[in-house]
Amino acid sequence: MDNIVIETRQLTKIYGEQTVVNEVNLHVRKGRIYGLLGRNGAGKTTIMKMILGLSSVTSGEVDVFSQTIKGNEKYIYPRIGAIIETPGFYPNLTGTENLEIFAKLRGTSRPNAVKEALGVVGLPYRDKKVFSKYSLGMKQRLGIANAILHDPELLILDEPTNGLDPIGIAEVRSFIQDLCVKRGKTVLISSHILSEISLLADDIGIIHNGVLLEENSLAELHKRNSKYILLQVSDTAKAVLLLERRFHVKEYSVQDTHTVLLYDTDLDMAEINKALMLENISVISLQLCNDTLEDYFKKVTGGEGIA
Amino acid sequence: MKWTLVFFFSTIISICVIVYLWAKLCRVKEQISNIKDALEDIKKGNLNRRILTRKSDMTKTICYNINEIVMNNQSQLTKLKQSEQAYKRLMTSLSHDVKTPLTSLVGYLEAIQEKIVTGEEKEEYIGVALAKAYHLKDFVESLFEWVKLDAKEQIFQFEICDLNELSRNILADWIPTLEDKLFGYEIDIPDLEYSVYLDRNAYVLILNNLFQNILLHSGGDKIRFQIFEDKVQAAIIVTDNGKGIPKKHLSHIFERLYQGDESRSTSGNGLGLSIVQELVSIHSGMIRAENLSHGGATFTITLPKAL
Repeated sequence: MDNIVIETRQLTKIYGEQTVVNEVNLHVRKGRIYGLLGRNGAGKTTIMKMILGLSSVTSGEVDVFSQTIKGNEKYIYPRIGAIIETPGFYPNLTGTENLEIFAKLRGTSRPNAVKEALGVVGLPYRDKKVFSKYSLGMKQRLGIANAILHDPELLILDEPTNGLDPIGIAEVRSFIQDLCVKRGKTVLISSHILSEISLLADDIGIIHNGVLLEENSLAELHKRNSKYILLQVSDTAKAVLLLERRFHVKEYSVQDTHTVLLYDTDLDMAEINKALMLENISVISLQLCNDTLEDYFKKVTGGEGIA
Repeated sequence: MKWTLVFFFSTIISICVIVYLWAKLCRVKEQISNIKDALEDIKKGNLNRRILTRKSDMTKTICYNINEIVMNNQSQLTKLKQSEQAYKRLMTSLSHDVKTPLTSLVGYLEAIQEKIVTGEEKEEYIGVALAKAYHLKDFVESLFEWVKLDAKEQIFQFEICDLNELSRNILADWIPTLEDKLFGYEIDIPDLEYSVYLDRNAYVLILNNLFQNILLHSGGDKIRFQIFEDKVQAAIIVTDNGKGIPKKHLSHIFERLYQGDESRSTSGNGLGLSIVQELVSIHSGMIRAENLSHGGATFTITLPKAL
């Protein structure tokens, strides 16, 4: 498939006797933000490291840009930007000097790439402060600047908001969204915070104890996990009239000729059913859907949940 | 002896020069092959591909220029794609927004036709059905307004108007409605003349939509209208004392068909504010929405002063 940027097949990593990543089949689609969600130690970072060749693969395969990594490193890696854990920079040089070294090594796509990358993350250009004096948040920002320095097609970000303050987190979030929406980049991002991923990602992969439990689009998950009563009847016009007159239902939407969604989940469903039957409207189905995303993750991870 | 020494040195120098040029040639060759690969990829439609180059490379200007062209193409393409997607979303939500009130309308009319209701109740049913029909009509009208704006087919007649006078006239028309809905109001418009270059109908529509929005969604019972003016621009501030705009909706309320109220209950259509924003931007103005710390929301429109 042309549309898949990263594909892993049966990707496995074993350290000694411990299986850290177990037969993971990941599919990151082009131009989307893929959120890898899991608790600490679930195997998120290990998967990213294997994709980037920073950690050897025990078994299985990784394809990036529809090419296997092995043998094509020279062509693939310049097209990826990444931050894994704390990025390594020279402590005695300033942020600008550090990035200039990377720009020289890697090459850039624009004449003033360093200045622009620093501007994007909100760090000063040609500042005198050396890296060792940076705060955790500034270090993280410099790491992000380094990842986007060469305007890569694919970004792999391992918990990029670690150590940032709430405003910084919001900034990074909107910046990642911009990259994806306005500039068509593909992003693979990991996090252990559900609320953060649900604000950002298009697709979600849930990983638990090294196993990929679920891979789906967020829209699909939201659809499956919102609060409403699903009502299927033979005649929606009659049913809606009854609901409006007798149950004073105001918040509903008619989906098609047989389906109505009621957004007030406190309604007495048994009464509704009875009333519909008495009016000769046959009820095909009537069900309450009120799982939240959180409940769902708890279910998927076997009750342990995600922080 | 002397000549052999000269000969020896000149041979060494020539060898050095040859090696240097050879290395240079190899580097350029490699660069060209890189450029070729990238261009091949770009030709296939991957507009995210960038050619990376170092500051010392001979080919750097070519690479920078190719990158710039590709980037510009890409940003245009993304814009096109975004508007295409927006239209698709518009169409799907449209079918829901029309279907729901229409189904309910059919329900009421059927009940009347089948003589299920009689006398006073029948009159009431007709009233409700009429209200729903009006709502649909309003929706279709604002939709039409919006499509015209979006397609840039609307023709505006800009003229220099007295903003204060025009605002006073519009507000005078609103007062009976406000009193009818038991809304308190406070109006503060300067007595001086203030010229703004605008389209009268568009300005009327801006204020109407803003007021309509507050009446329908704010949940408050007080409205404050103020105009502040200085040498360069006028700020039109409309404040209510309602429940405010939930934080997660605040950044989206000007998007088309965005409704903070997820249930899409029958009032409102999600077009009003996006029309306002479109119109304000046509007047080279800005609009923003904020929540007040003590409850309520405020909309601020700035319009430049006519020269």
